[in-house]
Amino acid sequence: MTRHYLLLVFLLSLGSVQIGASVGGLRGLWLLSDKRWNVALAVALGLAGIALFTLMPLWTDGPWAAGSVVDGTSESRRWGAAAFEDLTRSRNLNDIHGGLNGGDYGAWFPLTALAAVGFSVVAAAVRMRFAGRSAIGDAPAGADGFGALSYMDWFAALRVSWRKLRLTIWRDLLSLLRETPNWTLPKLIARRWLDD
Amino acid sequence: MIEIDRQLLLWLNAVAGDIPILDHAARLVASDYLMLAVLSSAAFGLWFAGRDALERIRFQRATLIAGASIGLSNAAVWVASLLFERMRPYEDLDGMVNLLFYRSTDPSFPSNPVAVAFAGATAVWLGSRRLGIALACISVTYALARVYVGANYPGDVVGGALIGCLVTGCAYLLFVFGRPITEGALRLMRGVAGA
Repeated sequence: MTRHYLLLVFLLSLGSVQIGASVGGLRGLWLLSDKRWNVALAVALGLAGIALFTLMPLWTDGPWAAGSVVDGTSESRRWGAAAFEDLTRSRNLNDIHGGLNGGDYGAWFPLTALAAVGFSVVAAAVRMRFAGRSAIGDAPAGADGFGALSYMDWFAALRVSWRKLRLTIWRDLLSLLRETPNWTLPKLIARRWLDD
Repeated sequence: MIEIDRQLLLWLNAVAGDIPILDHAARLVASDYLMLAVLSSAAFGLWFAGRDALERIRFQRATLIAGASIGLSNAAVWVASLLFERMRPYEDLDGMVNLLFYRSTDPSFPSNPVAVAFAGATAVWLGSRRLGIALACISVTYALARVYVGANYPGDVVGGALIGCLVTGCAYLLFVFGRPITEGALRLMRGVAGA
């Protein structure tokens, strides 16, 4: 069950990252170079995740064997592949009978979503390098983070962003602290130090 | 109040088991997995969707608040379920409920998955009105499906929804109160091309 859930979350997250990156113009994360095709691929990935998760009990053994899935109980279930008429109820399982518990959701979702981002980063960089370029046009001066990722792959954007972070981090954090209202927690702690 | 809640459940659950296609759809929607995964991944995708620097910061704040509020709503539901221990409809009204779902061992009030769904939708609404409203519609459908399959009383899902919204408000205030920390974290993320 955990592996099936991971596949669902990975494909859904990959789809939503690609849709988000397409809307946000982050070409350094796109799996395909054309925006419309990338959105279409993202929707297909999400739908494939839902379809696979729903249909997998038909050919995968689990606590949903044909003839053993009964509404309102988990105790009578046997191990095996599900029958077609039981498909929509095969995943509705108590965590003590093979379903996932809340801790598993909490731990696996963010890790799998980050894996989907990692996959996008690597796949987009490979696509761009194969196309013979790691950058698209010239990024505006001073662009970093996602601002740079709109023009180059993540590895190139990392170099630009890291360099800028090292040069400006203390200045940025101090000005952020100065602009913050006095009643915020970090300002309450830092006020005496800033006054000095 | 409890009697009205019971009558409302019996009315919503009355046709369960009679219309196969509606039953199949309700079982899928009420599942612990699908809707919550769709909602959470939509909130996650919002991180990347900003078209300019200002919109990006607004969306990324909303994603951070969604993560915090989903975690906090689980804690709030746990506390509330200790204060109001309520039996599930199929235990309370044995034989009167058409149960299309598994028999959970958790207390019925408040509905944990509905609280999580509304916490995520409300947090997203703070950043993007359109996506937030779409996710709220999904959350309402999810809540109705939980009642239809006999897993919760209407009062449980309303309680879960209120907890989800309130907890998101608290997460937002925490975010504002600790602003330089959260904005500083976003600045650091930008330094590794992650925001």
